[in-house]
Amino acid sequence: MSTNSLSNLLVYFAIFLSALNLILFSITLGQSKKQSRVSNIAMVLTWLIGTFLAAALILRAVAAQRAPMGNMYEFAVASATAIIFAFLFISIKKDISWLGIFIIVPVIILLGLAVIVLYTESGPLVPALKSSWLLIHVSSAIISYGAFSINFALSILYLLRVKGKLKSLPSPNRIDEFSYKVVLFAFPIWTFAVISGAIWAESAWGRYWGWDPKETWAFITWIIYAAYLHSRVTVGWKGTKSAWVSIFGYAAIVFNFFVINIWVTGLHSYAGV
Amino acid sequence: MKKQISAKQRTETPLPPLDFAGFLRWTWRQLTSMNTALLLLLLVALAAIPGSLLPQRTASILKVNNWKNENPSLAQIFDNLSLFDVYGSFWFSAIYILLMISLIGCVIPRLKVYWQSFNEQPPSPPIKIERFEGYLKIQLTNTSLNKIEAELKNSGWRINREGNGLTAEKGYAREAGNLVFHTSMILLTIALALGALFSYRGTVIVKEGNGFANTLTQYDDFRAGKLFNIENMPNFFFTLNDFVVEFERSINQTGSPRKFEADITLNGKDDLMVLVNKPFNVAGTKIYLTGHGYAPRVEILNQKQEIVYSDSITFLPQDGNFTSTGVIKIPDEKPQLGIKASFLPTANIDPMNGPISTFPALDNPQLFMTLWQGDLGVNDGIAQSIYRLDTTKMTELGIEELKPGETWKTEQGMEIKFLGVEQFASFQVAYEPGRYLALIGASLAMLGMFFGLGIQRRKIWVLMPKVQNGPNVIEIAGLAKSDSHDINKDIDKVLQQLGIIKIEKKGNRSI
Repeated sequence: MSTNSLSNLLVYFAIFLSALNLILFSITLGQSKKQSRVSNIAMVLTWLIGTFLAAALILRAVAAQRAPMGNMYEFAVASATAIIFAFLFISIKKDISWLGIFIIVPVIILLGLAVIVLYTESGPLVPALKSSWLLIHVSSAIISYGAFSINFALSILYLLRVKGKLKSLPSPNRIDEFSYKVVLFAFPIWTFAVISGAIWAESAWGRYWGWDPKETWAFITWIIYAAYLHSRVTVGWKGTKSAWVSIFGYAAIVFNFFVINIWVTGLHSYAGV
Repeated sequence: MKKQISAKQRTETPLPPLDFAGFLRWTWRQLTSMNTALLLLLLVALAAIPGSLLPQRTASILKVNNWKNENPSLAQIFDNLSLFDVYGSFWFSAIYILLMISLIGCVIPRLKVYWQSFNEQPPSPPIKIERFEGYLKIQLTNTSLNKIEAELKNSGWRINREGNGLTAEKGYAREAGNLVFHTSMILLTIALALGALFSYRGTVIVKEGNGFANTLTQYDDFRAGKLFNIENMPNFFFTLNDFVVEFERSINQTGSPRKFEADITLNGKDDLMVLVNKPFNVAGTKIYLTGHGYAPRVEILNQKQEIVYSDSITFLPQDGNFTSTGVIKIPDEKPQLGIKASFLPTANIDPMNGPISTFPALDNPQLFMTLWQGDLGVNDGIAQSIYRLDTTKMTELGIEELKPGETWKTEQGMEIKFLGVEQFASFQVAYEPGRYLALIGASLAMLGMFFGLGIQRRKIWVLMPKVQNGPNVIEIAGLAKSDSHDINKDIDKVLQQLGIIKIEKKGNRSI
């Protein structure tokens, strides 16, 4: 079996385990807050999913002899991996198995889209991507996407909690604080992704900022999350309104990834669907 | 990031006073309020959207014109709203400038406050602290406030000791970080403005064997800032000796480009290799390889067997397999002649779409031509695109497809020879004076952000109500300015420094 097909197999395994985990996490959701055996198993499975995905990416990198970030398939798998690991790293310190189901659903959707719609055989890079900035720029974008995904799940949960739903979960205030901390982590990394992108653009296209559609949406995303951070210290905004601001921020990320990459042509349109 | 005002103040937004100075002050306060800054941020995000969905002049005038031709009813309205030039439009600039004013109005008073805070001591400790967070009452032997003060000072706390208690404060770097971040946003804006005023950028298409000299007339497209002085353009020229392009041939990602290399000679002496991510620099002006395409060479003889045209023509690539289109105009013949042509590097006949190119390399090159005769419309004095043929006053004479080396003998007795195919490379020449300032601004912004988001301003109080020999009772509690910071961590650390190990833990501090 080639490294490439082994990588694909691992992604399929990860999807299968995620589907299984979806069931486990939904069982724990109805249970009391204390860690149950089911949630322990679910967390172990999540580590396994993370390992499979990381291995799939590494194999892909080995197969192509380059960073596994050259097309939308690789980007989608890497983003799913980032979401899983963002969740896992937080789970080392805090019991957040209650969040599991809200993480596993977007991961399944992302991986499903990756294998069904976005799949591309592993291959060499187009010349425009042959730069050491690829790894720096794209991996920082992926890490912040992973963390922003967690923030998105938390913002949705916050809004549900405020409406009095899902009473077994932590209080709205705690979810809100947690969600804010995740953005505190993600926002500087996203800023770095945008800046490194500008440096790369300067060295490849002769300008550091040119309002290419992809750049524009990166800017929009940045501005919305900056607004979110400001909304936290503005009277009348903290809480429901700021949760909505962060949801809009995530909508901008999703729009940038799917709509701009696929339907709008720009300088970033090499991304091979 | 202004101080939070109480809910009562907010609900009673004062009406603007009637006198002029009062009105100005009211406007200023509204503009620099946090609420306004927040709304302006969201407005900037919203305003940036149309520019990403509609073609922009700054990116491609051709696409703008195509869009306008396809949507004639909207074209004029959109044009009047500057929707094809969103980021240079009055309304985008207006929102952005308001945001900057709001930013400056926010930063300056805070700079003043921050400066003053350096000379001020932390506030006095309160008399009672048990209602604050992390409150602990501990019995200790062998300790004194002096000892505690020294310990805290060592780990970077600023101390105000009064009577039998002290206030320790930390996290001043947070505000410094915020101020640096917001100031560097202003710096970044200045850099962008400098770029917009003094930069120039042009694109040029160079065929293999041909050259380019850095003068205005040689550019296919040239844009410069309002304050750019043409005389400052550096003098240089280069020739494109060879252009190498390779494409993926395996089934996987067939046709994806794998290699672009332009071999050039600069100023007649230096041989350079220009790659996509590797521009070259002449006195601050950078020259980038941005694209490539094919230039079929054609020779045309009229009925009298005189050569009326002999040149290679740059054809614009239309898709990933380099189906390219081009136009030949011969205005000196009477009546005038024109050819509309498609060039396919690897021609194949698709049963649905007719001839298409199925691979970007020159595997089966073919030239599909339509010959027109009549009035080219070039004498009207209106500038015409060299890539478009206006056939409204022309009649079609015939169509033909040729392989390299073949000749089309038309019914009228003309000869059109397809001699071969050359390559061209397109270069972007750019001078961007604001780029280093922008980089400095961006780096400072990052640095400021780390401190501004990562550090929390917080206070700890230590009280020792009764001083006596033997075991003493100390009280300790703290307060963080932002409620996302867990002051217990600081208290634990301080206790650890004092040699106290806290055994009991209150529940699971989850999330």
